[in-house]
Amino acid sequence: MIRLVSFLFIALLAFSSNAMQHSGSAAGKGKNGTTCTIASLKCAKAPSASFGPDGKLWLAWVFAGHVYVQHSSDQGKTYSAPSIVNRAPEKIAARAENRAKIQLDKAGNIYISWTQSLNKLYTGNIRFSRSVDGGQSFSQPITVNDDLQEISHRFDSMVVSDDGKVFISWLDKRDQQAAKDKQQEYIGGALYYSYSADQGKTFSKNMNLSDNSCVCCRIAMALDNNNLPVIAWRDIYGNDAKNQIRDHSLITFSSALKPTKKIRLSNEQWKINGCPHHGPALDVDGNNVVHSTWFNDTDTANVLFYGNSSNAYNAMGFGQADKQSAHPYVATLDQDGVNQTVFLVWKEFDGKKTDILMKTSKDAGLSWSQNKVISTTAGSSDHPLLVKNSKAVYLSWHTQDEGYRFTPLAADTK
Amino acid sequence: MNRLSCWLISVLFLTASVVQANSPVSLQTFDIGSFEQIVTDKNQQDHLVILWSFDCPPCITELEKISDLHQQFPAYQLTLINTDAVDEQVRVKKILKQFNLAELDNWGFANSDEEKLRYDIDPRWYGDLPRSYFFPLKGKIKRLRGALSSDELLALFQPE
Repeated sequence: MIRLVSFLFIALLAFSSNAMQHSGSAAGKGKNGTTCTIASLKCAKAPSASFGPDGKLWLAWVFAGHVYVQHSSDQGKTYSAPSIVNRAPEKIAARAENRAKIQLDKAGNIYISWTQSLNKLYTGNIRFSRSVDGGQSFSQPITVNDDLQEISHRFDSMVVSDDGKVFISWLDKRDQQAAKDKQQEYIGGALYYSYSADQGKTFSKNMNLSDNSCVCCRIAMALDNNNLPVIAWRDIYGNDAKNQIRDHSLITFSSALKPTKKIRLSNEQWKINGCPHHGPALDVDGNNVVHSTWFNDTDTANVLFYGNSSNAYNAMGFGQADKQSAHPYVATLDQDGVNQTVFLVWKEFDGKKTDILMKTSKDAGLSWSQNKVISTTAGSSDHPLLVKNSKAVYLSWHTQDEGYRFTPLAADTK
Repeated sequence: MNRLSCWLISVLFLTASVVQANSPVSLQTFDIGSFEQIVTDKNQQDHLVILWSFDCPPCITELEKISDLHQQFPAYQLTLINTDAVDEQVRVKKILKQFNLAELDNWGFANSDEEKLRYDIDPRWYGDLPRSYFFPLKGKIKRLRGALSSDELLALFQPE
């Protein structure tokens, strides 16, 4: 019996010891030791940028549950001290396809939107705040989605016209939830939209623009020459849950509350029942031509594509499948009221460093320059963005090693 | 003595059940070279590696299917690699527990330098999730995009 007792003691000890080691190994991993404790651009998550009417550059970024803004009067060489937008902290989506957005109107009013993450998995609300005193103070954030279930209202995108009309779109799962409640199938989410005619004081009733969207890619928005939004997003084609084609769609408006019928923007037939985490980008040039770029991985030589509305979005492939070409962005610049320059930038990774590549077109997308590396980092980095004023296009790129970079770009002739 | 041994047996089983119920999920650090190590270490039988994130609805659907497969065929060799940020690991572990997947070989991305880790796994992977790689004892490695159905999962281990 003593033997039995001894055995039991040893067994108990061995079990506890094993459990403790298990616990220790899980807790003491020491991953990514660096900590960032100061609300600064260096520590910021996912900055975005926009020019104001006086030429000032404004940034919005996220740190520790707050959106912060900063401005620069010298094209990003120096910045003002950061100011807080939302006084009460909340969980804010600020990684990869998610970031706070900042836009200004001609009067210098500042508009901010972001996605607040809620407790349940992939749930959120679309939040909005504005400043009518040049960024000295911001309004109490409001929730733009008029459905307040704890479900997904996420991936906000925003554009603002010169006269302060605010257009916001996002991915919304209220219709999926309604179908689920009735035990019906609903693939993906829906593209929703709201509009403010009074500088963001109030927003219109939410509008479903399109059912069955993909649920995890950024939405692209720009204003056309009539100051109406153009929206591109990753859509789901095919009503069979097991055969989902994730291509892109595009929608324009005949007035702020009258969307036209959506068109298919891309047709690479990417069949995937998963999250591509790759949303499109678009811009509208001075001749009201829409230029768009997107990513699709269909085992072909190219994974990046460009198309414009003057040639029915007939896709030009670029970027190389074996070089991790990803996250393309587009901006246009009106040269002289007639001729339009198009800038395309994207990321490539060679196993050690990330390059930002650029190609440009001085004839509105008909012919293109050679690819050119315009920035590099050895560490991790955000998606590249393009920001413009009336004179130039700039690369906006946040890197872990070098911090935030704001670089003027010149179009190449070849 | 009889009483003592009864007491000890009770304590042992009580402790064992409490420890099991509260045992933390072990999430090993996935860094450069980990994928090769995982694949090399597990080359004695068919092996399925699944990459997932909690912020990917199809991934959660697939975890449910993986859980069913694991309950039905515990001997099948499965490895889960989570790609979420390091500061999200509490949530990641909670999900693994919720789907009874804590006892699988679980890994979590080491740092925010996702591109390097992705490239180390597969230079042709752009971050779409879920993503799986099936390493059969015989035949070609399969690169699988998107959420796999129960039938597809079973067909990997039990080809016709």
